[in-house]
Amino acid sequence: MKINSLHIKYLFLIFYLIVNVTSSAQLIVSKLNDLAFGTVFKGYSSSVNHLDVNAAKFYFNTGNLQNVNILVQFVLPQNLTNNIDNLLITFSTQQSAWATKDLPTGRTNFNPYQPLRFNRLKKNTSIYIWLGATITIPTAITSGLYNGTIIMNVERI
Amino acid sequence: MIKAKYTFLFLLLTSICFAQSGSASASVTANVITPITIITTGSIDFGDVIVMPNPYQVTKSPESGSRHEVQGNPNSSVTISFNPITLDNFNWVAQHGGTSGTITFIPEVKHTGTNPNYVNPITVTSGGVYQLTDVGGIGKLYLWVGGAINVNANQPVGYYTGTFVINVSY
Repeated sequence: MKINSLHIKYLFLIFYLIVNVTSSAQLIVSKLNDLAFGTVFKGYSSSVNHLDVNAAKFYFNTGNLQNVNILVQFVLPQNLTNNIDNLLITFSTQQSAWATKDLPTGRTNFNPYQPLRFNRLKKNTSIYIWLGATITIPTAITSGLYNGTIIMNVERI
Repeated sequence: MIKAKYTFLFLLLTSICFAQSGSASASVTANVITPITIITTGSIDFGDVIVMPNPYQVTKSPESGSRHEVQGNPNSSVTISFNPITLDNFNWVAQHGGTSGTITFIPEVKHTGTNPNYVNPITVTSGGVYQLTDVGGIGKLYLWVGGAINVNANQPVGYYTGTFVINVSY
């Protein structure tokens, strides 16, 4: 195909618009806090509520996306592990919440095992999400630091 | 034709750009440890103490007092704390009559590490930090408690009792 001035004009227009779109309409997703149970005893259970400072805390912002529908899905660990033993961990609606402000009030509970959908969010809308959980520690389990990972996927739909 | 091609290209690329997503991950951690248990054998019994016109002190060695087997998380440090206590004969007086009195018990605490026998005892100071040594996957420390009571001049007679508490915490 022969490159002429019209091609250059279109290419430049496409380049300009795409750069403009990608730079101004970014969906911002971040983790603000890890979920930490601290020191726990064998033979006991331990819970972290979404209001606890040790709850996992996530955040996303719609940037310049206007009237956008967002789907949030979590990949939750079934167990924590110390590479020797596994420790069952469960999440619940009561221990999970989201809000548009980073405040302990005005939160809405949700089931973290189900997709969380937000409809027609305005641009520059912030959503904060907190996750707590419960672990029950058997007596016959090795001591040590148990780890797991929560992944939050945020998708424009 | 050219316009149509570029319009298609534009729509394709912008649709890719608009199909935005993002992810973030958080770690979950729990430090699992064994709770502390204390198995006590023996008691601190001073036996019969004679009433004298002058104050004096009666002692009991930790070896002949009470032994406390501390079990917990292997190789973890624990803080041990305790205080003198006051013994009284209040219950005895309530049953038999007489004069109420008190006696101060001053504890003496030793530890023998993981040895369940009283060998090479080491003095334990209140507020001190000690280690639970790994014995077959269990952190252990043997504590021995004896002490002294200060008997006052003309101490009221009776059966003096009190509860001595020794705290062991991570």
